Amino acid sequence: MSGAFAYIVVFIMYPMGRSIWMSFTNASLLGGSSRFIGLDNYRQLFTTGDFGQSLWVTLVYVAAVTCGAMVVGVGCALLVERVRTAQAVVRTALILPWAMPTLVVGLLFALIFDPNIGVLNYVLHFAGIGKIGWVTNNSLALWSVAAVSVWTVFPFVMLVTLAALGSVEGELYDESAVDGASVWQTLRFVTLPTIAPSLRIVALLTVIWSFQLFQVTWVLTEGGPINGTNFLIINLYKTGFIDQQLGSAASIGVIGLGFSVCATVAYFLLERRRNSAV
Amino acid sequence: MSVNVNGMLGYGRRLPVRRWGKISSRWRRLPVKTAHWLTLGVAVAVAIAPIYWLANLATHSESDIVSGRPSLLLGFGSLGGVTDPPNDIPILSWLRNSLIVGVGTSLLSIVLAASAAFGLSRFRFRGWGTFAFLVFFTQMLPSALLVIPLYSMLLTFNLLNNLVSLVLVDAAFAMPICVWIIKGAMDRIPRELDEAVRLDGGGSLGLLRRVILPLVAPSIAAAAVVAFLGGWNDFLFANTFITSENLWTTSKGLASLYGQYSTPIPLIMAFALLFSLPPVAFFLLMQRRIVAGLTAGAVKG
Repeated sequence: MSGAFAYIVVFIMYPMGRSIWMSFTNASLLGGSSRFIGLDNYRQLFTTGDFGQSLWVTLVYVAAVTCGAMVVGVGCALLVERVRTAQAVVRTALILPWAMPTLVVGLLFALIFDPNIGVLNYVLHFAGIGKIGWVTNNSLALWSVAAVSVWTVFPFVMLVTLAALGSVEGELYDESAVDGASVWQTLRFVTLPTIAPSLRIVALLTVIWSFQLFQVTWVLTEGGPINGTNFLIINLYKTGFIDQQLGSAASIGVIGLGFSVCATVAYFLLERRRNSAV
Repeated sequence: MSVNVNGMLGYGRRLPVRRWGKISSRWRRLPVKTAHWLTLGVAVAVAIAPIYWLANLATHSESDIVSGRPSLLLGFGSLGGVTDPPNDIPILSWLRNSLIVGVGTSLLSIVLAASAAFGLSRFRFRGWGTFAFLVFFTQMLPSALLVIPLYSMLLTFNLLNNLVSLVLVDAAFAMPICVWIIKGAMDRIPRELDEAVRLDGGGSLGLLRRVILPLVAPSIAAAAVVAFLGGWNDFLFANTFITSENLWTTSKGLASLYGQYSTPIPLIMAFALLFSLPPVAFFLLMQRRIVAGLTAGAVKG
């Protein structure tokens, strides 16, 4: 059993530590020795204009993907749960987006979004609207990428919600029916509060994962026409492997990690307060 | 009207008609039901449409696609000639490499994860809290951040440009989830069974595993699939650690094809479809188990 533990230490914790260390050096992909330069990388990030925008688009993206995936996922779960005929078929169809490899999703949507040969613009052309630069328009690109990400992620939310719904006791529904509750009321006051704990943890997971989503964004925009989709993870990749500034890249990564850690800490604090209030 | 709970998740649970709230006649419920099915139809359409489009792109000819007037129906092209790929696209060796990485990751992950899960489940280690935290933590890490130190580590051990490097790294990331899934299943096995085996003279390690492992076999299968997919779908590490072309995995190969104007789109899409088959197939077969394992912790809060 300690074998597994040691394995993780070697392959994850140690590289993690190395990366954090690297964020304090001026290491470069070109090799050669690296010097310890303290907080210089971080200072540089915050003083040269670009990083602020990277941070902002990342936060918008994470918020958009999380909200989108939660709404669509929970909504689909609620719809699917009450279906009796062909429930397995519908559920299977809705899971497919999550099952597809993300690289394929990226390539596919690159073709769908293509301004000239893409099918979306073809349909719009039919409807009389002109071409839209789904991923070439700087402000639209973020939302296009977010939409694709939601498409990829919502099935997971749906599955977890379905599981949670399955453990709700039938009596609760019977009681609310006797009280004469409408569909919406049942939803708001019975169903949602009961599955809320699962929803909260799924939301946290979605937030954390949104920071990591790389393949789709990379294939579609490589960081956006003018940094419009230059999320932290993209920024990290470009800084490290294209600009070859490993130290800077590591510092970006640490900041990104910091957000995930904050989200997790916030979650646990809120949970604790909730539990003690009860 | 009966209540029927089937499956360990309660899928397809049938509840009395009054489930909808108001006790109403069938006719009054019709508009709600219609809206319900309509929305569901839209959701399914949105979920499936892109995949349908993938098939569409794969079955039309290049000239049709590039003309800017794509046909909305499936074409009759033979999947862009996937059965007879050009000589300079070694799709078979790509698929073989992806398979090697996937299977390797799967085996390594479940071997390590099964023993870890067993220890966590049966022995009151002080490690449980830290391990749970570890699972979470590894989910949080941007793998792009770890690529660089991993690269230099592998360089030192002369494991670069070797599929083994991918197996090792992908297994490291897949293992925590596997432990989660398998431990969830092991926890559900009552301790009395352990005692019974011990009374019969079974040693902790050997006999216990011969009893417990078969019982949690479905979860191990699910974990194996999750780990396999981790290795199969990986792009970042495959891109960074492998240099010789004959060791490329399919994700690296596909990405390299795209953007080159010499390769026809239908062919790329056909390969993409091939690449998607194992994950989709496994998912469909395993969806219940995977979710059951993933939510073992989540649902209970």
